[in-house]
Amino acid sequence: MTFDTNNIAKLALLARLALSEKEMERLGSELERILEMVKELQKVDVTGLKPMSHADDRGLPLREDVAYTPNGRKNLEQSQGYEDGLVRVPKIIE
Amino acid sequence: MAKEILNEDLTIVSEALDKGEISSEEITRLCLAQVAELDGKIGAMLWVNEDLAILEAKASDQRRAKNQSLGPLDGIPVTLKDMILCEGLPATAASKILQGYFPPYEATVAKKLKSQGSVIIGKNNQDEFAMGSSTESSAYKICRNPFNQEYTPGGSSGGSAASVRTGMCFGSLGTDTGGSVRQPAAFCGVVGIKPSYGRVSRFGVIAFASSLDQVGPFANSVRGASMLLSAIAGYDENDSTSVKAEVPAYEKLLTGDVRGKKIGVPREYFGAGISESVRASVMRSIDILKHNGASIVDISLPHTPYAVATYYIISAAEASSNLCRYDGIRFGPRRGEGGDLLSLYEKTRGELFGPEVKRRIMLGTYVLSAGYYDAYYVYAQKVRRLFANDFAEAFKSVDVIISPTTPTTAFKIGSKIDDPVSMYLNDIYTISANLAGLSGISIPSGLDEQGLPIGTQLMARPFDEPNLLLIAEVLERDLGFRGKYGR
Repeated sequence: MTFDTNNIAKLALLARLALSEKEMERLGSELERILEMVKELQKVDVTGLKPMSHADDRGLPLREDVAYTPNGRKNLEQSQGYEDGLVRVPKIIE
Repeated sequence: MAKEILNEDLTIVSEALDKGEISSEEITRLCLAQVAELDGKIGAMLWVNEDLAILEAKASDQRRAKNQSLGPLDGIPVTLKDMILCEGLPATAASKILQGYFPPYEATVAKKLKSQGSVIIGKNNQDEFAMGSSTESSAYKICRNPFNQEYTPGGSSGGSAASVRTGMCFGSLGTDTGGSVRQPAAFCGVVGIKPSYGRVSRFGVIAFASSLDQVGPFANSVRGASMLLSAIAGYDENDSTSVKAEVPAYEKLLTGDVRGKKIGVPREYFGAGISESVRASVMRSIDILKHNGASIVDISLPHTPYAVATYYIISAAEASSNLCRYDGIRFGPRRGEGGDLLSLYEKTRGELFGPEVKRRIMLGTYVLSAGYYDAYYVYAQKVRRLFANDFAEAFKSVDVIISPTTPTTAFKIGSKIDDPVSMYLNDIYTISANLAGLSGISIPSGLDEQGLPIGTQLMARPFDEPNLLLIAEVLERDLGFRGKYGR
């Protein structure tokens, strides 16, 4: 993919970022440069290798299946929009 | 007591507190005065809470008076990188998108330090969301190198390193994702540890790249940094990536004896691009270890040239996901209210994230997008396994690996900020330890011709901090950096 304005605009939409035209141009050329650097990776032979998503392969630790009260809602009073133990936010479901 | 105590290390201050030669309130006030005097030109601190700090210091003194000291860290002034949550202090990750945010809970590492009586005096400046190697991308202010203010302190934990170096505190916690503790430690002439992945809880630490991040301590000595590591390490049920492994008192394992230890010298870390003074300093470090009875082994880490590319794909991908939560809904400022939901998201993030953060989010979004996910992200994860294999192979024949921490000493402020690739290449020697989950440390090993500090790095197997720190301390002792350059 080359980073023309069209492709940058699509990525910006995915990333939920409003960018000015100047920013889009600059990001386009910066991402081209970064992609040049990462293309080097294609030279590495990865046949038969499992992807490594985690530095430690020990697996997820388990706990006892006992109910407990989590962190709770203390200190929420300092949040913006705090009202009666709840926090008022803009509508997110349309 | 005189201001000279600010030149001392954490371990000396701890003894002085125990012997009653100084009180925590006195030393805390001295540190706060140091912040007031120097931070205008250094820029290491974003938020300071004087009143809270003095209260905690007084409480420490009262405990000591009743013979109820909580241990060697009781009463010691420390700081936290801004992205580590602490009650009573803002947490912005040096970004405008969290301006004015006070966390309703705090990081496990902050809780642990407090439970041992440390006095947290404030939050350190950093690169925004830990993305950077110079602290120039902080949305609030620049941080400057204590040795020469025209130069960067390194990053992203530049504020932490600078505050320890200038006596604003005696220890600091930073985070290291690709070198962000070790590199500023090298640039600022202090000790910085990146613990093994999973050694320290990340709960309450604003996430950048979850499979790479680790909280790491800064201090002026290996012993001091080891004490901080002992204080913060351990399994945390709130962080399922933390490992259930015993935490030794690391400072008690510093035997001072490296006879029989095998030190690996990776040939790929000593090629072109290293400045002469850095090379000479690290060669001197190797000689010191040889002189102390260790044997030097030539090793190869063949995939080193691919480290930067692998890291930037993986870390950008994870960051683009982690930073989705900054959407102007639940916390932080908002922009674009009154418009539709999409424009609230886009304007909040577009206006309140800085350029480096946006660059990495875009890169991460791209490498995770449909059609490119396998070619970039999964590919990079496979290459990551090659790094782990390279190190596993090397550690069959050596105990630790030695290298420069960075190819050069600190660079001038403004010289790389517009050239992202050049900035990224700075991390070449530190990145692999994060990819493979190793433990690593940088200790100051000398100054270059311009008087800027040089760092020597050691890396050890995951969870082999005992070997790492023991060998580092012997090196530190014979390098004599602290005796020569204070603190």
